[in-house]
Amino acid sequence: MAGAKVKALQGNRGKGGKMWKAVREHRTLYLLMVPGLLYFILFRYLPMFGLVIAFKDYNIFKGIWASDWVGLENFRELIRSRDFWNVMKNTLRISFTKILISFPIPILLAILLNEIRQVRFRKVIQTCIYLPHFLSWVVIGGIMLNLFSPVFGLAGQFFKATGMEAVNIMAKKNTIFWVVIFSDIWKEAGWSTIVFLAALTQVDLNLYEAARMDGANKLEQMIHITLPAISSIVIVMLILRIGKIMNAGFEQILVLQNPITRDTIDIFDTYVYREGLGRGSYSFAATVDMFKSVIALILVGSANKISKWFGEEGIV
Amino acid sequence: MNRGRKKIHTATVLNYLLFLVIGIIMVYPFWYVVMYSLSVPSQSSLDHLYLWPAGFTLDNYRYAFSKKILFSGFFNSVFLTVVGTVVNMILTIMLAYPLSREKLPGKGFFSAFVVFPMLFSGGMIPTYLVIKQFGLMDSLWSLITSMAVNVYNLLILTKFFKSIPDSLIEAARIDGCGDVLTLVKIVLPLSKASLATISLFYAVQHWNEFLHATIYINTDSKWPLQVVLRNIIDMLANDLNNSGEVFMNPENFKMATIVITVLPIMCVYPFLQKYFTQGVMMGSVKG
Repeated sequence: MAGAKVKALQGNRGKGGKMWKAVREHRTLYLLMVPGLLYFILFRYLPMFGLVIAFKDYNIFKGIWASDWVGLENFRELIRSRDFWNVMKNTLRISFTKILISFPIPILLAILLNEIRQVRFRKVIQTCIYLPHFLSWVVIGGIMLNLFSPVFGLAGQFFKATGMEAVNIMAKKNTIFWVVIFSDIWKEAGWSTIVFLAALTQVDLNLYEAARMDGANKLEQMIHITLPAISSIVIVMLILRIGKIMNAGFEQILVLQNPITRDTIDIFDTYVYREGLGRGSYSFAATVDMFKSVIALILVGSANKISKWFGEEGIV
Repeated sequence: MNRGRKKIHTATVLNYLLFLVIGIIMVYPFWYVVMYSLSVPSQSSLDHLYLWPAGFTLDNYRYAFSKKILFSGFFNSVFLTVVGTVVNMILTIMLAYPLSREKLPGKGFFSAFVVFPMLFSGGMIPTYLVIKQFGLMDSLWSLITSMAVNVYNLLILTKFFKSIPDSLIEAARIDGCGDVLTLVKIVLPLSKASLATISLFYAVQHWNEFLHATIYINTDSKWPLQVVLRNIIDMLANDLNNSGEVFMNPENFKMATIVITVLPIMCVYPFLQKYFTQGVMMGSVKG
């Protein structure tokens, strides 16, 4: 009965009275949404309005609304700031290197793992390589600090055994960058194989059989069957990844950086964190963050559009 | 022909070897940490590869458990994880179900409303100021409320609710069930796997919470475990410094703390792996 009524209303949604009736019919559903929507309004949308402090000189005693307007002064300061350009350079450098090196590895791993036919072995390996994904950067950073320590860690044993000069790669400007890149690979590469493995299991095994009959070797099969089968998901993942370029890994960098290495791996988020929450320059930090968010919005928006061109569902 | 087959064979063996090495690289650090934490502190830690404990002892754990801050951290994290996940699940379900009903007037608007924050956010500073304004600073509730709904999880659940046949829901309504009763009696029991997946997503996120906790919580007795661990690693924790104790074994002690932090995750890891894999599929496969 109720269902039929709703169906009857569907046709005339445009008319005010009936529309109102349809809304009333669903009032329980609207009520269910209230707490969730309230959360979004208070904790997601309200801070967006708080971004006005980027155009103000935020004074902790005056509050957000009563603080003085300064127009674009904060943005001018931002462009003049050497830190800002350094942070920009680092963010892009880390992000691009991560895409260049860390992005292809899971694809390669997935293809190779897919070749392993021994189910038990494969399961054990999957269990091992997914593991680091579930641990926090604090834990992993703590382990790394020990492992790479020349004083009490595995690195120390290596230097002792080889007679090389002992260095702490986590406390050196020219090595910390690669520590960031490779620790990220170690933590996430295994986990990232899942999406590609899923795509690979969709491949029709008869195709391989047919190719073998035609005399194609393993490598040829890989190039002509496996790669085309996962190419669309690869493209989509790549586009989505590029959409997130402005995020170079906040928690990872925060955990791995120290005063010596800070300048080399300082990124937008760590800089905003230190400037705003550490030193209390709220307005300037919010300006930096806003700059980052706007670029990110443009990137994610375009990434989403492009991914839809490829006939895939975007993130939105 | 014969030679070709042999070549494939070698490649296969190499492939197995490769993954064996990768597997060891992934797991050895954890093994190393556990063995280190069970070892007797010594001046010559450089002599051991820690494939097994260098002189077995539980003292490092005894020492760790004598630290009040570790206890409070552990219970704060348990509280945050349990209460946080319950709040997450209630709000996410209550939002996902209406959003999954195609006939809901204004559904498009509400969907856009919850997805937009995924694309653009006020960022760290304004969010901090808002939380401060609400008087939530220095309380675990700041973490629970400010992360009450994860948009990604919300979308996964909405997608799943959509896949439940309309006929089932219509039938329940004809039987006189209201929306709430339909949700509780029909929809939720059909979604057990998805609900388990999403609660695990939320629970791990809470257990590993570090960033926001360092921003919103200043009092060390209110810190969740990850923040305590970070401070023990940095040797900054008040409880440790003020006691005036000299550390004879900081490294072994740190490693023991890491093991304690990781242990709960390891205990549920088999479930995590299973459900998380499903979750990633649900998120990526077209709905």
